[in-house]
Amino acid sequence: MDDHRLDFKQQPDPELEDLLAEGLSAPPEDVLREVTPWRRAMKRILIGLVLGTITWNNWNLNFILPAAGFLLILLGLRVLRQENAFFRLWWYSLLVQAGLYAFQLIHWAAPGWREFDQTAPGRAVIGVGLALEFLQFFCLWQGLRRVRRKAGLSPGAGSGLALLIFYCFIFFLGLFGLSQIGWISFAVMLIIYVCIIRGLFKLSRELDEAGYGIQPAPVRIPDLPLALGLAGAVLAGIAAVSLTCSPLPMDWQPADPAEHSDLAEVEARLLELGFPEEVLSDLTRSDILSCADAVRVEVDRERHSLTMSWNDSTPKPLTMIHAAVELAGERKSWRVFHYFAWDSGTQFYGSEAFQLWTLYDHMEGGWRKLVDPAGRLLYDRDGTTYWSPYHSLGVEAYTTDSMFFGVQSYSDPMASFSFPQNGEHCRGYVTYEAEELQEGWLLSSWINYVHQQKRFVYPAQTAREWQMSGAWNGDGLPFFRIQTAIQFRPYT
Amino acid sequence: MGESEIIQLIRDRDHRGMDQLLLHFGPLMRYVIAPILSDGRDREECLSEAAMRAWDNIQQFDPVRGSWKGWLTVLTRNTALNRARGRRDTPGELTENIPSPAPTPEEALLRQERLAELYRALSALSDRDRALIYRKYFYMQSTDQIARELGTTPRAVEGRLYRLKKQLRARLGGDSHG
Repeated sequence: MDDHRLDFKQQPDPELEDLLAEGLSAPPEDVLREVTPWRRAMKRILIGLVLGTITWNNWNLNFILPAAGFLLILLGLRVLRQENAFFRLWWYSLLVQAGLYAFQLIHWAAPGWREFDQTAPGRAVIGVGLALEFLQFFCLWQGLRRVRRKAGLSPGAGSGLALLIFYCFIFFLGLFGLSQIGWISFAVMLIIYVCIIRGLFKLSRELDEAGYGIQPAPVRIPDLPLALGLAGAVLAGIAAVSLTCSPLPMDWQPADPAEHSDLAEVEARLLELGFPEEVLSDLTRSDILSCADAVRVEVDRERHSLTMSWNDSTPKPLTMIHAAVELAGERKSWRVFHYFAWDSGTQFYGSEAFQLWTLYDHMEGGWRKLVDPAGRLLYDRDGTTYWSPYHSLGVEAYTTDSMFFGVQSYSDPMASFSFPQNGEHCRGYVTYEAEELQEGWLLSSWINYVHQQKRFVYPAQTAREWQMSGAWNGDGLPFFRIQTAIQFRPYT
Repeated sequence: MGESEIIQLIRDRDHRGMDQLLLHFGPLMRYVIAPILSDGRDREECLSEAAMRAWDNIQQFDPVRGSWKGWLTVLTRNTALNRARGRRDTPGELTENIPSPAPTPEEALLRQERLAELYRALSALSDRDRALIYRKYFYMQSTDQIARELGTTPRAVEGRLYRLKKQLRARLGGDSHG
């Protein structure tokens, strides 16, 4: 180790020391501004407060800026924490809030955080966080009054009180569901907020002289290592939670090679009618048996790319095969299969999902549901085929709010699942049965398949949640939607 | 009350000016005095003495040459240094530089050259580093105080000062130079 690092006072240079000690005259203005125990700490706190309110939804800045703001407040306040009782109280509440905030930042990396926030512990975390927020604004106001009073000035610090009242107002707006304010109201509130913050900066400048009386508290860790350490710990937590929790839990098990034994006759009949062989080999025993009375098979096969702007040379790693099997009976009924198969080498991150627009829901009046959607997932590894039921498959009711179409409610079958990273030939299917109510209706069954194409999505969102949010499709997004269907007129 | 109003009151020999000076700039003056004088009573006496000097020498303050805060800082520091060195017998003397034994003309010339070099070297430092040097050698703040105010550890301050002095030595002509 460098000896200089052990003792910085080694190799004293008396002449330089003497020159510095006796030669320095009036400090330049920048030094006069810099040398104070108050300005730097208070500036950090005020900038932190401003950053904490900026909501810029691009590049995760709506998380990064408030987190940076929180860090700045922490660094600024730790210097002022021993100055008076209110700054001390603020410091302790900030430490508690730091723990809660770190927890929130990390838990937003886990799918299901929205559900957690609706639970009692989740609500408690949010409630305590809000209460601490108000306590801190109160402490800021009262702490500034104490600093002024200590310097013999009138207490004042009205801008601190204004900030507290402003946040109370915002809180009650949100509490009573009035968050959807108009542009004019928003502009007025923004102007008020800017005036308050400007007032706080002005107050801080006014307190520059009084601030020389501040007694800064000692710290054990310098600012930069502390900031980097805290940010690093939170980022490591986010990465760990994201990596471990993002794939949905699946129940993979080796497929039974004898599953299709004694089904040869039905399979032969289906193949003869044109049923795709690769789909047939992946169906469950019960799904094959449900087609025992097949009289007709219609098939549609497509390859899909993962980009909006594709051409002939664009890779198309997803094969979609739609099959509709007409079953014998008094009334015509059809069993619809939507089969998807990914090329080996496709990267899977987090979750996948699909939404069905079934015959009976989207061709209402012409078709009636006979059998609910069901299906399974499969992949191969080292010559063995594994299968799993879906993580979830059922009807989901949800609403979307779009600029063009307003608030709309939907209720559709949706599936949510994950494929393993090391799986080959990942594939799956969903099937349901519908009965014809009126002759002449189009057979039209849609599947909206959502593929996650980025590893980190923050805050965490599953493919299912993305689809239910009504998000628009586009290149470069964490998710990509492939919309495809089988459509034909059964009587032509 | 603003800075210019306080200065005007003092110039007008209005005693309210002295009250306002102590009210608004007392914390700054105490801040400058504290690292130089350790005794509490000594500090209060020094504060009164510095305020009296400001009152007596207000005509020397020229806003064109520097800020009020700078003038008051230098005046207070010199008062505290004089007090610390037991030089109460030279109260009326106010210089920008620390009093030192009278050098020979050659020594004075050499010193002027070195000081000019030092200021050139200081001006090449960043604002923050320059402020650190001033904290240590002009304000005479302890490493502990500097660390507290900068939100860092004394060890980190010592390290930074060590490296800055090394830089200054190099700019002033190497280790052999002062």
